[in-house]
Amino acid sequence: MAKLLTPLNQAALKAEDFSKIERENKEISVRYDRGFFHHVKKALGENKIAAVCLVILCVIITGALMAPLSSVDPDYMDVMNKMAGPSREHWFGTDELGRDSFTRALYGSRVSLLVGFATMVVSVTAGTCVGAVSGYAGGKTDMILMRIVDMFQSVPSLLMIIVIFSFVPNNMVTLVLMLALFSWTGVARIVRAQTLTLKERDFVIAAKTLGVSHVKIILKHIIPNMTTQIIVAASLSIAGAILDESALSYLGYGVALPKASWGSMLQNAQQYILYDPLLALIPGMFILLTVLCFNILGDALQYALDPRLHK
Amino acid sequence: MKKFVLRRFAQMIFVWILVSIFSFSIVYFAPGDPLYIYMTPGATGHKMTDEELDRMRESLGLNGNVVEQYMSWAGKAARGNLGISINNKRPVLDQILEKLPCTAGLMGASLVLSLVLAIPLGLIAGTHKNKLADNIISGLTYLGISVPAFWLGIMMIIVFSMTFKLLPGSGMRTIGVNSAWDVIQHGIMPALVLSLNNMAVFVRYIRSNTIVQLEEEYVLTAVSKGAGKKRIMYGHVLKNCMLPVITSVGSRLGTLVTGSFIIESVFAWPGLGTLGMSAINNRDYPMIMGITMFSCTMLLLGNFLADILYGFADPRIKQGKE
Amino acid sequence: MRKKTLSALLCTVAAMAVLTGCGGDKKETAAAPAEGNTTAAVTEAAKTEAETTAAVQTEAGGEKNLVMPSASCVANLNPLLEGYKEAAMLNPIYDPLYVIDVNETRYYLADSYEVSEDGMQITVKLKEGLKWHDGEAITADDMIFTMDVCSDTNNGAGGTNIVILNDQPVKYEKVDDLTVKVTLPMASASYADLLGGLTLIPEHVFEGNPSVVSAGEANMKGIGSGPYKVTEFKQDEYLLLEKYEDYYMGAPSIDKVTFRIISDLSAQEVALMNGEVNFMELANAPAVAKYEADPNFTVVKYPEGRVNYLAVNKFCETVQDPKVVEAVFAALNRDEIIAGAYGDGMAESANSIFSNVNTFYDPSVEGYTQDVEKAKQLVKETGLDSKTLTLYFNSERVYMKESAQIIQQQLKNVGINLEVIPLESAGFFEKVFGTDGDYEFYLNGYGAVGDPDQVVAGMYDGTWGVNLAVSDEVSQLWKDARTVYTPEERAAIYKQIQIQTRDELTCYPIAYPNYVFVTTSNIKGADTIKRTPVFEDYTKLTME
Repeated sequence: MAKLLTPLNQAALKAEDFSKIERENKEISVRYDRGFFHHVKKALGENKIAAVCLVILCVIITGALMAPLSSVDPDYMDVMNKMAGPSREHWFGTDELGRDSFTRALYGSRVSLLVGFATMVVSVTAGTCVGAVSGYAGGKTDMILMRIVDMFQSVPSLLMIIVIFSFVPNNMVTLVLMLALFSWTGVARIVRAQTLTLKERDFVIAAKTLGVSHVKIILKHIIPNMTTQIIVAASLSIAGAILDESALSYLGYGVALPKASWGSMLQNAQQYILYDPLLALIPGMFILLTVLCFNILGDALQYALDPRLHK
Repeated sequence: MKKFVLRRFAQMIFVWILVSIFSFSIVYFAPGDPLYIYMTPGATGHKMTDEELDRMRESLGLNGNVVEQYMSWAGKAARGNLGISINNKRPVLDQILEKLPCTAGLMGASLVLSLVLAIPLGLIAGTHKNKLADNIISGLTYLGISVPAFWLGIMMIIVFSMTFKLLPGSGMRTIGVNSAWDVIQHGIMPALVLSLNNMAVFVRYIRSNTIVQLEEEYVLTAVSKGAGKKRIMYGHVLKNCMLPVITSVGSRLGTLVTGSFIIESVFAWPGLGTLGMSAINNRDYPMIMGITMFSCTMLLLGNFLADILYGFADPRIKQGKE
Repeated sequence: MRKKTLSALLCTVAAMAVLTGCGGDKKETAAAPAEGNTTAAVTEAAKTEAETTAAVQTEAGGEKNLVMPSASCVANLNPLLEGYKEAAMLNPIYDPLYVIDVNETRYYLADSYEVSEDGMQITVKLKEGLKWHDGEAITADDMIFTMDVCSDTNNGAGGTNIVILNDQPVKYEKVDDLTVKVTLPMASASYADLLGGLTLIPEHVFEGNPSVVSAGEANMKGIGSGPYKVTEFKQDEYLLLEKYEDYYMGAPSIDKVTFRIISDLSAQEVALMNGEVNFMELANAPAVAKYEADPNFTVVKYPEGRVNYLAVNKFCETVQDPKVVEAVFAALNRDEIIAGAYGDGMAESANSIFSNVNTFYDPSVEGYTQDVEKAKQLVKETGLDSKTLTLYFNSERVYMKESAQIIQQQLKNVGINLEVIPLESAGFFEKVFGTDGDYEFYLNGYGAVGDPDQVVAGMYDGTWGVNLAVSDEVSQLWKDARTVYTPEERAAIYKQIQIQTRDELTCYPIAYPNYVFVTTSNIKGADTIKRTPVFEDYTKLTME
C-alpha cells in the first residue's frame, strides 16, 4: 500500500490499477465482515446475558410476526366483558372496551417494533450521510452541518413534535419521520468523529490521490469501515425510538385508532389504572423488556467489536 | 484560549438564530389559529366578524407575513421580551421565570441525587469488576436507561402513594403547609424517576474510570506504601474519575430548566413542563415559542460553559490548538 | 463508608431544600434564587418544619377546608375571560344575577327581573347593600361596566352573546343606582335566561376601562361578589379561597375552599383516597360502583344536561347521498355505545336532540333504531364498502375515544370502513365548527339545560354548528319558537323540531351523560342544586 502513497500521475492510471484497488478494498471489507460475525458470536458466547437478550428479542419479534395467525381479532370488543381478569380465553384479561389484552399486546408489538426499526433506519441513514459528509468535507460545510445538528439537539423535541402534529396528519409514516427528525443527530456526531479519523488513513488518502470521486470514497471506503459504530448506534437508536414512541403515544400523539402500540395501550390504561393495573403493567413490561434487550445487546456488540475495550 | 471561547460563543449565537427560525416557522405554520376560540362562539357565544378578528390580531401582534412577524418577534426577544401570552395576556417571560424555580429545583435535586447514588455505585462496580456486585449494578443502570420514565412514575404512584400511602402522589406541596420537608416529600418520587437516566451514565463513567485508575502506577505505589483502601478510593481514584463526570454535569446544566414535560405532568409538578403542556393545549403560540427559546438558550449556555470547562481541562485546547 | 453515606444523604437533603425555593414567597424566590449554603438551607428546613406542625395543629382545631381538584387551571381571575370548564374554579368568587332553573328561579345579585310584554325589554334590579370583597358597593354602574366589557369584542369575553344578539347590539341603560334596563334589538324568549348568567365584575378595580383584556394585574385580583374571596392564587398549582363574612346571603359554613390543579385523573383519585381532596368528578363506572359501596364517600349523580351526538358534516361530498347517512345511522347501536363507552348508569340513551333536562324535551319522540340488515343492504347499494369514511373526536372529552372505537366497530360490522381521528380541543373545534369538507362525521356534545332556545338552537341555526344541515322548514320552526310566548305553543313547535331533525338525518344523538361526582362523606348538601358546573351555590354545602 505504501507505494500508492507516492504521487501518481493520474492520467497514467490504468483501469486495471483501479479495479485492483477496488478489489483490495473489497477484500478488506469482506474480511471485516467475517470478523464482525465472528466477534458477535464470540461476544454472545462470553456474555450470557446478551445471549439471553437476543433470545428474548427473537421471541418478541416472532410473536409480533406471528400475531395474525391468532384467531382472536385484536379490535373485537366484548363490551359486556370489560376489564376482566386473566382467564383461559384472555391470558392477560381484557381492556377497557373488552378487547383481549394479550392479542393487543402482540399487535402492539408489531407497531412499536416497526416504528422502532423504521425510525432507526431513517435516523441512521440520515445521520450517517450527514456525519460522513460533514467529517469528510470539513471546513464551512462541516461547520454549517454541525450547527444544524446543534440546532436539533437544543430544541425541546417533544414540544416541537406535538406542535408539528397539529398540522401534519398523524400516521405511522409521519410518526417515524418525526421521531427520526430529532434523533438522527446522535448518529451524525458519532459518524463524523469516525470520519475525521478515517479520512487521515492511508487507504482514503490513496483513493483520493487516485481521483476516486468523493461520493465513492465515502460510500466505499469510509462508511464500510465504521460498521461497528453504526451497528451499535442503530441498536441503541431502536431502543430510544421505542421509548420515544411510547412517550408520544402516552400523550395521545401515537398511531391511529383502533391500532394499538405499547404506548397507546398505556395511554388507554391511564384512566383505569387504579382499577386494573394490569392494563398498564403489561405494555409497560413489554417496553421495558424490549428496550432493555436492545440496550444490553448494543453494549455487548460495542464491547465485542471495539478492540480498545478488550485490552 | 480567548479565540476558542470567542469561536464557541459565535457558534452558540448562530445556533440560537437557527433554532429561533426553525421553531418560529413551525409555530407559524401550525394552522390552529390562536384566535379560533373567537371565530367560533365556543367561549363567548358570539362569532366575531372579520373586522373584529383583524383588530384582535393586530393587538396580539399576529398580523403581517411570517418574515415580518419573525423580525418583530426576534427584535423583542433579543431585548428579553418574549411577548404576551394569548392565554392570560401576561408577559411570557414573567410566567416562565415564575415557574423556573420549581423546575430547576426538581431537576437540580435529581442531578444531585443521581450523582450521590452514582458515586458509590460506580466505585463499587469498578472495584468489583465482573463480580456479582458489578453485575447487579450494571443491571440497575440498564434498567435505569430502559424504563419508560412516565410509566415508572405511574407505577411508583400506585405503589407508594396509593397502596402504602408513604408519599404524596401529586403536586409540589401540601397547600397551606410551607415547609421544606413537605416539598421534599413531594419531590422524592419525581426526582428519583428523573435521576435514573443520569445516574446510569455517571455510574458507567465512574466504573470504567475506576477500572483504569486502579491499574495506574500511583495506586499501586500507594497500595505498596500501605495506604488504606478508603484513602486510595476517595483520595485518589475518585478524584481522578470526577473530571469527565463534572464536564458531563456541565453539559446537563441546560436540562435543569428544560425539565421534563411528561414527568411533570405525571406528578402534577407545577413547573415549566406543565406550563408548556397547557400552552400546547391552548395553542398559546407566544408561550410555546417562549418556552422553546428559553430552554434552548439555557441548553446552549450549559453546553457553552461545559465546553469552556473542558477547554480549561484539556491542555491541547488551552494552548490554542483544537 | 457510613459517614460518607451520611454526608451524601445530607447533600441530597440540601439539594432538595433548593426545591423549597419555590415553596416560599414568590418575591423572595426571585430575589434569592435558592443557592444558600448547605447548613443554612438545612436549618431553615428544620425551622419551617417546626412551624408546619404548629400550622397543622391549628387546622385540626376546627377550620373546615374543602379541597376541590381541577384538571386545568384558570389563567386569570376574571370570570369573563375564562372558558366554561375552568371557570368553575371562579364560581365561589363571583355570583351571577339569577339562575332560571326548571322549577324555580334562584336570585343571586339580582333582586328581581322583569320582562316587558312585548319581550323587548328586561329590567334587572340588584339587591340592596351588596358589597364587593373589598367593601365597595355593587351598583348598576358595575353591571353597565360589565356589559361594556362584553361589548368590546377584543376582550373575547364570556358574555359577548348577552350584549350582541344576532350581530346586533343590545341597548342597556342605568335607571337608578340598582336598576338596569336592557332593550333588545329583537324579541327573544330565552334572553332572560341568558342575562341571568352574567357575572358582574367590579368597575373600580379596572378603573372603568372596559378593555379588560390588557388590564394585566387587575385581572389577577379576583375581587368578586360571591361567598368566598381570594387568599392566594398560584397558577397551575392552587387557588386558595376563604369565606367572605359579609356575604349577602350569610357567610358560608365551610371556612375555606381550595382548588388544587391535578391534571391527571388517576392522580386526582389517589389524592381523594389519601384524603387530600374532598371531591372528584367520576367518569368511569367501576369507580362509581366502588365509591357507592364505600361509606366514607358519597356519590352524587344527576343528568348533566348535555347531548353527546354524532354529527354529519354537510360540506362533505360523501354524505350528500342521504342513503349513506341512513346506512350509517342504521348500523349504530347507541345502547351498546353507552354500555361500552360510558358504563352502567353513566348515561341515558338519547332519543332526541333535546336533552332529558331541557324544557320541552319530549320523551315520546322515537330515536334512531339499529337495523344491521338494512344497513348492509344500503352499504351495498351506495358502494360504501369501497370507501373509507372519517370521524373526528375530541380527545380531551371523556367517553369520546371509547365511543369512537365502538362506532368504528359497529360500522365495520356492516362493511363500512371508518377512520377515527383524535384532536385536542383547540384543533377539534376549529375543524368541526369550520367549513372543511374532507370528513364525514364528528363526535361532539353540547350543553342543553333549560330553555332549548339557547345552545341547542345555536347548534342548528348556524351560530355554532355551521356544518349541520338544517332545512329551511326547521330553521323557520326555531324562529317561530323564539317569538311565541305561550308554553303550549312553544312545546308543540319544539316537538315538531325534535321529530323533523330526526327525519332529516342531520345528527345522531347518542347519550345524555350523567354528571357524577364523589365527595368525602363529611360533605353534605352537595346534591341540593343539580346543575353543572358545580357548585352553583357554595353556601348550601356543609362539612362535618
